[in-house]
Amino acid sequence: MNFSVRLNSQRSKKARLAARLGKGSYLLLATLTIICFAASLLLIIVKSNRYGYLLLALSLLISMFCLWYQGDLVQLPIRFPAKYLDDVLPAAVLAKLRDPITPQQLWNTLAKDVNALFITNHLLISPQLISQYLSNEEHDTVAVWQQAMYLLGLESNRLLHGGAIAAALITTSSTALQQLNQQNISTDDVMEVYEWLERILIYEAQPKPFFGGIGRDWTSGFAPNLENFSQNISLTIERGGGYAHFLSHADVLNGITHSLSQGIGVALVGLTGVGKTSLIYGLAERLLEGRDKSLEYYQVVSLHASLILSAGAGRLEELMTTLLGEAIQAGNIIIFLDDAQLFFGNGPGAFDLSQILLPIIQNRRLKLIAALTPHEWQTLRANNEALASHFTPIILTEPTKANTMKISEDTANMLEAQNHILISYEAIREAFRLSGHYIQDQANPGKTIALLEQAVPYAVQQTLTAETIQSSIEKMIGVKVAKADAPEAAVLLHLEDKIHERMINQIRAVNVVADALRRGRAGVANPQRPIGSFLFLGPTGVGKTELARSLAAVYYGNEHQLIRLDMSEYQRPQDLSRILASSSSQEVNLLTSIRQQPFAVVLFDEFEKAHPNILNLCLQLLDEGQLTDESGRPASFRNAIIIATSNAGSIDITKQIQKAGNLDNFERPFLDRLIASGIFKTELINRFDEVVLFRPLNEKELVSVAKLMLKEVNQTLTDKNIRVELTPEALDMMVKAGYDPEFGARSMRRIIQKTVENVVAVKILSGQVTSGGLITLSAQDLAAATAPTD
Amino acid sequence: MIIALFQWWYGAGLKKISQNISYWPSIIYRNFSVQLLLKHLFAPWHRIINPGGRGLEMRFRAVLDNFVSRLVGFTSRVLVILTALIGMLGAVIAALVLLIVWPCLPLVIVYCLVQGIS
Repeated sequence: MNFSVRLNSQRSKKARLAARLGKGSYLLLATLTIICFAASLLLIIVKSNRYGYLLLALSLLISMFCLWYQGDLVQLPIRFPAKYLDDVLPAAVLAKLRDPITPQQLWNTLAKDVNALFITNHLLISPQLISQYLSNEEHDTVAVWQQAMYLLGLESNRLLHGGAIAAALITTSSTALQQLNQQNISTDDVMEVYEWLERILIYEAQPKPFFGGIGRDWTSGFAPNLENFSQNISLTIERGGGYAHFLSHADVLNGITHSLSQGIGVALVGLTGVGKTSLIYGLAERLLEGRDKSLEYYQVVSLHASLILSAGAGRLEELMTTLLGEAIQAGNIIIFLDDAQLFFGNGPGAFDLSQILLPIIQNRRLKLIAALTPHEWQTLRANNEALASHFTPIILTEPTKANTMKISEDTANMLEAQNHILISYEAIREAFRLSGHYIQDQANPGKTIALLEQAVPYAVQQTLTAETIQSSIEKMIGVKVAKADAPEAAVLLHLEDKIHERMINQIRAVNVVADALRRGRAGVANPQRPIGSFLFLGPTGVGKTELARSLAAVYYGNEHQLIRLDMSEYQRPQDLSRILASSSSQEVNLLTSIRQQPFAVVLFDEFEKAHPNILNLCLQLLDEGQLTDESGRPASFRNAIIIATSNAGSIDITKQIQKAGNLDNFERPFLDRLIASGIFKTELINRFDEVVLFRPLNEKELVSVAKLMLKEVNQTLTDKNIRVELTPEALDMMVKAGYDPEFGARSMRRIIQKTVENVVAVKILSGQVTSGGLITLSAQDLAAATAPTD
Repeated sequence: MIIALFQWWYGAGLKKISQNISYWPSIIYRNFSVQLLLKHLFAPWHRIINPGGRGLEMRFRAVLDNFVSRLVGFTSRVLVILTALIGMLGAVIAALVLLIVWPCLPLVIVYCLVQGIS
């Protein structure tokens, strides 16, 4: 092909004529035709006037012109075989081109081209901005034409649409690409959006499917009851409401139709979201088109378990027999059991259909498809081998990233039309990325599509962007994925200071935890492991648990973002199943908690007391960042900070402090001793990001602890507008009374309760202090409060 | 412009209109499911059948019921097939008329002009 545009060719002239006339002129001429025609008939028939013939000639001439305008000028079919570019260019583009044709001029002709706008809108790029970066040299246009024809497929005889030209203009301009790179848009992204557009154009060019005509169902029976308890998927498709993408599993359709035509049931086995239901929509469409002679015009009907259960109370068996009987009698129905475990008696809201189904399936009288997750399929096989053996299992695996993106893009078109919004390419890419990170119990493409659907209400100016998706997932599962805003960044950058407002010393521990959180929030941590995992070792009452609480309160907003497990309650082998119990069990356990709060601090208190099997389980948790429950459902810890505390060997730490005054060069030999004594295994210790030794608090630090606790008391009294303060002697006395070499500062809280809180309570009740009052407690007051009563 | 119009009228326009009208009968044939109706011409109406039972009377009753069902099916199908055939015939006639009118239209315009002026 010659890559030049002949602006004086007949096709170019026609394009310009059509543009000059416009739609308004066409409508005017069409109206004129009708008026002239009516007037001519009036004159010829009623008045027998010869001028009527002139009017008739005029109306016929204009009607010829109108037909030409519509059939040739507007559509402007491509010239085949194409020799020059003007043979294949769209009319709207051709009409606007002027010599010399430069990339910039070409871009400007695409300003209103729907296909070009598809590319720019979905990439969220400004056409005016791109125009500035395009060349104004005529010789640069050849490369654009070559690229556009390459994109379209050199051998194809198709219209060179505006989308191909726009994509070619962007990808052949290094300056435009540089500009787009700053917006995080690469050449691959442009190509991906172009391919997305191509799929739409190819889909729209396909002839409308034919579904059999008016006499199609006359040979099948009626199923009046079944209609009330099911959804006819075939009917939905026939009415144009059932578009579903099954690109990734199209190859298994042959297997399904083969089994069904033999009368063998099909078990579609795949994770939630993998595309089981979509595949059934694809099957229903294929059967409606009559492509499989043995199943020609069969209807796929999905049973509603909830409707059947609510209507069939007390007569469930009778109802099911009626429904299945109608399906058999109709002779053209394939029953689809979505969430089939509900029909086989597994899980809440389920009922057992197997006794009714078994004889029917054995006789191959009913064509049946059941959709199950791998775990549900295994359960069915274990519980009802006889029934399961009559199903052909078809395993559906998760599609590749490329296919998931294609399916999500094509589904986005449907969401756009339904919600009158624009879903940008970056939003789809972000939905894919974030669903991979944060939604573990579903498969793609379902989870990416689900995330897009859930983000629709958060669209800003009718547009879904990457930020919209981030905001949606933040609200949905409570994780923080968007770029940290200024207040959050300030908290992160000064996390240590904020934590130290709540706890004293333990600088190293605070630093390592704060560093981990910053790494995780900035997205530089390994996404396949927890944000951070730490083992805190030290005596009781030195702040190990308090650090976890402080972190939850300071960064995550409140202490409830802390999932705490007292490992002394998990000392028996059977306690392992308490941790791994499925979500259907009544008890709230570690896995259900982390599913509800994936962005949390997980605290394993008294870690060394857990059963060795549970410690082994922690190896997996720390390594892979996830655990799988008994039902095979994964729970992710990849957005959590794991803190394990232990006071194993705390006497050694205290002795070391007493001997040397610090813990320098003590950590390694100390850990070796712990390993040698069998408390922890080497592999477990090595799985933690950091092992931090907490040293006992000295007297000065205990004073600070006492002040912090007094501050807490004052916070509690804020509502009553009363303040409490201690004289220096009283503070001294409380530190002495509150310090315990064995329990550290733990007894301090008890002393405060016994002294300060009790004294304040008495003063409030006796009216000695009222709103706005200040209570100053002396050493004598505390001594009186702590004195024995008898 | 006039030359381009006439080129299209007797070239691509005529070809396109011929193609379009050639589909009309087949569209009617398909939408009335003629082939399917012929294939199942004597099938019972919506599979309404009496499976019968024991005893001569029950069997006789079943034969009679099934005959009525088939008769209803046959009659309905034949009526639809006949409607489709009439529609197809109408489509063929309309197509032929259009095929004649289309090339003659410019001549009709000339005739009208002559009539109007003379």
